[in-house]
Parts: sequence; C-alpha cells; structure tokens
Amino acid sequence: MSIAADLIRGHTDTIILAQLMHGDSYGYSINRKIQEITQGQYELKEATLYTAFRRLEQSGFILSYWGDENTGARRRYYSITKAGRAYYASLLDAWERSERIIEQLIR
Amino acid sequence: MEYNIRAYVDGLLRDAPETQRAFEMKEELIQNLLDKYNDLVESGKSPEDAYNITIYGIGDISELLAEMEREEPARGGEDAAAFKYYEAMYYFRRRRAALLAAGIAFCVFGLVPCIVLSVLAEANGTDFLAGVGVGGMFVFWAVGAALIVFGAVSGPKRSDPPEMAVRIYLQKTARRPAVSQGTAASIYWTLLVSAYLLLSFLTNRWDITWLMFLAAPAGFMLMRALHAAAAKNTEEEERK
Repeated sequence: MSIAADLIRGHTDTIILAQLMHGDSYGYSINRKIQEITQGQYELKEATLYTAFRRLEQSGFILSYWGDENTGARRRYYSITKAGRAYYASLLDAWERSERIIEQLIR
Repeated sequence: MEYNIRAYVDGLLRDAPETQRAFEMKEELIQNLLDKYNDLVESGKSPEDAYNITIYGIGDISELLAEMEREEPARGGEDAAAFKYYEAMYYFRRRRAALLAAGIAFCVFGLVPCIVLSVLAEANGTDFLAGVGVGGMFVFWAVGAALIVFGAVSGPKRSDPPEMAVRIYLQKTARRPAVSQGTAASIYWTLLVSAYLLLSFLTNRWDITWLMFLAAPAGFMLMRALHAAAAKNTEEEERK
C-alpha cells in the first residue's frame, strides 16, 4: 500500500481537480468521495489535501469561498476555474501518455 | 472530543504564520476533521478509535506549514509601518496613563505634609509650620495638575496622521536622558539627608524625624527597580 501511495501521490492535483470537475466541494467531502470510489483503498492525508488546495488556489486553478450552511458548520468550498479545467485536461493527457509508455516499458 | 481535536490542531499549527489566511486554514481543517470524526462515530467506531483514526489521517503537517510560510509575504513595507504605529500608540497610551497616575498621586500626597505640619504646628504653637504645610500642599497640587495637563496635551493628537505619531514617538524615545544607577543613588541620598535636616531643624522633632531613614530603603529599592526597567526598555529599543 505504501508503494502504491507513493505512486499515487504525484497525481494529487489531478485527483482533486477531477473531483471538482463534478462540481464545487469541500475538503472532507472530496476525501470521502475518493474513499468511496476506491472502496477504502486510498485516502488523502489532510496535510496533503490542504497543501494541494493552497497550491492550486495560488496558481489560479481553483477558487475558494465560505459556504453558509444552516447547520452551523461553516465550510470552505472550492470551485475549479477555467484555467483549472485546462490544467486538468493537460494533466489527464500527460497521464494517458505516460501510462502507455510505462505499460510498454514494464511488460 | 471536539475540544481534543481543536487542541490537537492548535498544537500542530503552533508555528503557522499569524495571518487571517492561516487562521481560516486552521478553522477549515478543524471543521473537516470534525466531519470525519462524526462520520466515523456514526459508522460505529468508539470515540477513542474515531479520534485516533482522525488524528492519524492528518499526516505530515510540515509540507502544509512550508506552503503557508511561502505564501505569506515577509513582514516589511506596509506591515512594518503599521507595526511601528501600533508601537507608538502603545507607548503614548502608557505614557499618558503614567503621567495621569503620577499627577493624581501628587494631589493626594500633597495633603500629607499639610496634615503632619498642622499637627506639629498645633503641638508647637507656631503658625509658621501650618503656613509651610498649606503652601507645600499647593506646590504639590501645582505639580500634580501640571503633570495631568502635560500628559493630556503632549503626544500626538487623535487627528494626527500615523506618520506624525511615529515621528514624535521616535524623537521621544531617541533622547532618553541616561542617568547612571550611581548618580541616581547619590542624588537620592543627598535629597533625603537634606530633607531630614530641614524638617528636623524646622520642627525640632528629632525624636520622630529619624524614622525617615527607616522608610528610605523602600523608596530606594523602588527607584532602583524603575531605573532598571527604564534601562531595559531603552536597550530593547536600541536592539530593534
């Protein structure tokens, strides 16, 4: 698992952006979605998740805003920008190419 | 458990920069950890297990701290100016308070020699001493009133621009008279002996006036402490 986690870590940005492509969301919701999709095999550490949020926001790929929930718990939501969508497309493209190359190389 | 998670994150982000952004970051992290914790408890975990899983899931905070540190611009420019302004305002507020307190103290203590001397005058049957006492009281009051008025009108006005306040502050702190401990001590003891002799000759109550020397060391200690505090302040200013 730890080796796989290392391999996946390089794609943290892609994973987060992919979730935001489905709509605005907040930290824990994104992480829960990741767990659901992978059936509990993978989960981002909070430190990794929030570092990525900040980095992506600084680069202009995502925006954040405080949601006004009636339940009392105020959550910071993230929203993907136009630049973020383009960045996501390029990351996806890079992944698809490297996946093919690695397949060819290691089999 | 909410408190525990909060306290844990507070500890983790102890070294984070003190900015609005960093504060919001902490609130966001805490809120999301609480969501996670509550979900785990709902799914049947014991509070202890849920807490441990939640805390373990945070991971290595150092990269987040590094990212926060990198984003915050170094203290300089506007921040430094604002900081200096607050420092100046703090200095003037303390100064005004000290002058006001000293002025009031003078007015109150001005009554002491008046009362003492009038009692002595009655005992000795000399109106002269009572006159000195009343005169002395007015002198004390004059000094007290002067201190209060000076405190109120000196220093920057509320309407002054911040740069003005900072400039006055820098001027005031720059030329602080440097009286050494030794000089202050000799002035103190000389004044004390003069006061003792003057009072004793005037009142002829040598049997009581010597008590001044019993009280004197306390005053001396107080002066020394004030002097040391002032010197330390000056030192800190210079180091900045």
